[in-house]
Amino acid sequence: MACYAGDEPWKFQGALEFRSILYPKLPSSLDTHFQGTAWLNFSVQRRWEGFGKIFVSSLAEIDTHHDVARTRLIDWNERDLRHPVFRPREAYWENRFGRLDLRVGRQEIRWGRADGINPTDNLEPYDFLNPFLEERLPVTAVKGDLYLGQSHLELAWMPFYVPSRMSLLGQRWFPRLPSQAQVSGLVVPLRFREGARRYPAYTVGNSQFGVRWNHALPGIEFSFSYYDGINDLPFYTAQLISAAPSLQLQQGPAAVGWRAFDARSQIVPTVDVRLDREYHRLRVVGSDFSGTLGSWGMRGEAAYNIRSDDRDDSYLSYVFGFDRQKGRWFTIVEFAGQWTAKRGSVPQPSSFDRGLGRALLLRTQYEMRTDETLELVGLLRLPAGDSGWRLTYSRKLADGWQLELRGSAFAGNNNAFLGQFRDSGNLAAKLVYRW
Amino acid sequence: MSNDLKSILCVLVLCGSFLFSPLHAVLAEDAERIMRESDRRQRAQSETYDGRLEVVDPGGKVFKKSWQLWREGNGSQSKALVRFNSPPEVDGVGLLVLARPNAPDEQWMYTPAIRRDRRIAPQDRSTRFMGTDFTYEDMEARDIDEYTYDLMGEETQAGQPCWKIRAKPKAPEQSQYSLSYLWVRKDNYLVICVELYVKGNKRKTLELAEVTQIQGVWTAQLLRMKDLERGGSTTLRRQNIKFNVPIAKDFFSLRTLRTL
Repeated sequence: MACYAGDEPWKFQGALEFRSILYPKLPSSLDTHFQGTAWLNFSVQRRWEGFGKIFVSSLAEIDTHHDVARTRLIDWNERDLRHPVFRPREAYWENRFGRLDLRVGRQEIRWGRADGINPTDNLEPYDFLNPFLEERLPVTAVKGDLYLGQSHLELAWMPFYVPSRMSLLGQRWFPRLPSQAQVSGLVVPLRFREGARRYPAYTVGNSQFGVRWNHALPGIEFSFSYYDGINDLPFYTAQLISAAPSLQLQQGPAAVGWRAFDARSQIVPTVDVRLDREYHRLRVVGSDFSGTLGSWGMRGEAAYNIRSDDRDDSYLSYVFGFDRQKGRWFTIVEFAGQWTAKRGSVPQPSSFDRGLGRALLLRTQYEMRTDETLELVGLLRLPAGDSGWRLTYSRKLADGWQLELRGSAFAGNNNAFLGQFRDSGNLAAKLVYRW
Repeated sequence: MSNDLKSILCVLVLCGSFLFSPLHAVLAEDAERIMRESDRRQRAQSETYDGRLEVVDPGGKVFKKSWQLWREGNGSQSKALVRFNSPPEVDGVGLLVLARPNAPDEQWMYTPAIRRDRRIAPQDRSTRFMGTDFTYEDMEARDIDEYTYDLMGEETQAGQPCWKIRAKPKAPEQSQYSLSYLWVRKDNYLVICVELYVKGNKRKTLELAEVTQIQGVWTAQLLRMKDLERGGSTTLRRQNIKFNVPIAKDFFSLRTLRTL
């Protein structure tokens, strides 16, 4: 019998990471110029012959800017606005039964073959406290992978809903809200507050599942998928909590925002608006592929989002791209787009799933020396022209030690999806030690 | 002219044809025979080993990587799976290569940090593999039929009597090397030194050392590639080498790549 890499019964891994971010500008009074964070990530793995493997990983975190809640030690459900100090990441058992691989427990599940933008990847929510750090939140699931020749069937059942963690209201990464509204020609300041979070109850009826059929042919592989669950992104509704009883708040066109007025059209002091969150059911039918054309890689993905609530859009989201390795250069170019099949009554264009719209993604990496790279990532929205750019220098300093220096910038109109972050350009440094 | 004289002339013409045949055709035939014998002696149905890699960059800095390799088949019928063990940032990264006759290899890379496997387009074969001085072409199993060979004589290399053979790719556009010189030991037909040329310039040298016989197969446990242009070198030490190990039929698959 061939030797397998998992012959060692125990495996311990860890990473200690220090990150600092410097923001030259302060979009709001709640923001800070400097943010420092330290993470300790630790994992343990144990294998048994015939019994499979148990894997457990966890994360401890502390920071300078209170994205980490000092009063919350553990948050198993990941439903708090902020990170807890201690976060269990994954804890699962997996084993092989003939053609079936079974994994039970808290785990990461990633779908989609495109690079960077994955419309079919809906099983695992995101951590958007800093949306450009690309962090994910593991889910509790029973996942089966059935291998039948060149086909591979994935089935996942997630009994407990985990929402995406959104960026903090009033801070730099929260989608831009109107700071004022017009009242019969007069300007009324608006102040938004965090409201109710109506999470789905822990019932079997609120569980989620996904199925994905993959097939490989010479030179190409593809999949078809179906997801039936709950949107990990919240649907925001605005509730007026101003003291003026006759004041009414009406939802205007999304581009304008809310309007506040009273019956006498009198000047109203600052209007407090409460943002409540709801989570709507969502079904997604998707497909993806990856293949090669000569020295070029090709990848594509498409997903049709079917919304259950009339206030949401039903839309198609797609991405298609090429990649090429030439000498020391590796480059990816992708085009992403959306087509709205049914416009909801209350669109939320600034949400992270709809805001991008049509865009061009560029990623190019240059290997300067062994274990030293320079990478440029750019996202350009079309036709608005707002964009986001990130330049990263990465270098291995010594065994286990890695340094990363990064600069990010955003450009464009303040009201555009990426342009709204233009005051959040930053310089970041990350030092990681792994063992 | 009498019939006897004609017969004698025919014999002389035939002998002359034989005696005065171009010498290189004979030598080429010998060279190919040597290479085929070398290939035959090193063929194994499957192979596994633990690899330890040291990359020395031009500044003298040393980077280390280690991996496990499984291989089955030879040449355009081969399959290989590599799983990196260290350093920690590449631990668990896997590479699956399925060779195809008359078609580019199919390759996938699995990255555990993002839980995704990714089909890789055939690289520019001169691209360095994982930051080493071995390119993707260097990592591929050389197909004997893809080259023409000439015997350049005999030399001593690393204290061993060797044949020196020049190899040129039959399809030059498919190789980064315009030609190579190989030193083949006369006692066991093992290639122990290779010089690789690009556009007539010597670009790299490959030394194979710590030669031993494992399960009847002569093999080198140490390979050292020097990149003369870049100024760096990569040393690959192969340990726990096993040949003709039974490997499960579905081992070389994406399933294994993801779950190994």
